[in-house]
Amino acid sequence: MTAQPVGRFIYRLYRRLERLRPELHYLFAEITRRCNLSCRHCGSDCSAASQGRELSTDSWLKIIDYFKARFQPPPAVVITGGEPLLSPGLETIAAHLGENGFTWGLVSNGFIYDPARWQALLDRRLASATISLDGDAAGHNGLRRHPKAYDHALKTLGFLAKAGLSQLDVVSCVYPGNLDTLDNLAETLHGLGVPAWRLFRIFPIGRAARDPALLLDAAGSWRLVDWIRDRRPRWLERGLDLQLCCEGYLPFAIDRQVRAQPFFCRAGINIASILCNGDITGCSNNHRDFAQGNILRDDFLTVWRQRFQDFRRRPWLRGSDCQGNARQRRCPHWDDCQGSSIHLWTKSQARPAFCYLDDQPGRA
Amino acid sequence: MRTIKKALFFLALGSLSLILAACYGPPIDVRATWLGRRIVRLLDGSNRPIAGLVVESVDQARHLGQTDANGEILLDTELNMPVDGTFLALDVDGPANGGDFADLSLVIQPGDDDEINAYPTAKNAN
Repeated sequence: MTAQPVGRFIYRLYRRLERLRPELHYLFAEITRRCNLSCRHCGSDCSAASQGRELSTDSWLKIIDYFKARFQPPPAVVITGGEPLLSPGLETIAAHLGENGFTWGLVSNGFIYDPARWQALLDRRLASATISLDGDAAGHNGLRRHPKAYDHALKTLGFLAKAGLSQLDVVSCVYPGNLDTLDNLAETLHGLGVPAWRLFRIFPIGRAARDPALLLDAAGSWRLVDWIRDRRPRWLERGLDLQLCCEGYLPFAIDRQVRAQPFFCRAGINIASILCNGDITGCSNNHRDFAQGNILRDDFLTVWRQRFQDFRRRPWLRGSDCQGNARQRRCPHWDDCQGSSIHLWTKSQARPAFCYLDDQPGRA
Repeated sequence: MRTIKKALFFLALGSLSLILAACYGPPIDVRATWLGRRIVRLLDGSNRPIAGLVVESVDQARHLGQTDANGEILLDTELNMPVDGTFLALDVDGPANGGDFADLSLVIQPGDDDEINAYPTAKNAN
């Protein structure tokens, strides 16, 4: 046997154990849905005005206390939105996380270039930040629908890269309009001193679902995978760890070339989210069908232990093949794929919104 | 169970570093925990700050920087090091910055305060 099949087999055992004995490592805290941009592809349909009641800052402080008391070790907390910097409670929440020993990080569009605010977050033990950058000025501003979005994000990235943040990365949404500009973006990020970069397909939820021009088809998606396979080794040598995002199963041998860790959808297994309305779910972009409870009325630990079964036991995803037909054959990838990423599903659909292999069978 | 998972993860991938970066979330080493952050303040016998003392981590064999005008240096796990252990403060500029001080070995325990005052001895003191 060669190393690859052995590694794949052991990783399969590892994933099975994780599903049988789930441990919460990573908690998304969606503290607001307000946003200062109105991106064409936004999966949350975020906008300047909040579209509903949101948990108060005091509620988030209580949630933090709860997780410190009930989870040993406490999960890493990821503050997300909307745009978290629009929340007036951000610094208070951040201070409470830092004072209570949480490892915490932040997701931002980088549009608010305010070094003093970012420094205040660093002083509150911000461990990790992710900033969005989707191409050159035209590509980024077009997707973000703001003429200054690129300049602002670049300044924010430059500041954070020099601030000595222990983990900083950029995420890029790849679509037909920027697929051919990735080499330029790699040079830009390297020039800024950004150490890590993840590339996403835009997936069809929120506004993106209504804008098919933003979606890579199967051939375009494989072009992205092939680009990463080709560029990743040389950019790693230069200090930029570029990789494919967590979305979508790929065979182990390919996966090892495009991701630091092979595919494993950890939503509901190691990852949970509390959304701004209190809903408890897996990843924050999982369809609302997958909400498991609400923090305002449910005990999180009970929810974590007793619910989340749709995430952990996935035979319900095998009712059809990935073309939506009654299953006539067993997909040879099922044991590793397990239905791919939960965020590609709704409860009512018969197949994931995208599959690298089923949508272009020749690459299987 | 956790040990078995870690062992399988290591065997499959050749790494123990489990860095999660779910969906658009940032990458976080979920096995890392904050060990804290401390300010060490170095003062002379009259409680005046001593600037310019070089501080090193003995355990890590690392140069950590120099005390500032307030006599302070920040020990921070963002430097990927514990903030307890044995540290050494060295006077490298002789009589400048308030006098010539003997080397000070400083042991910080996990339960110590977040701000620590320490007092190097002046070399010419009796």
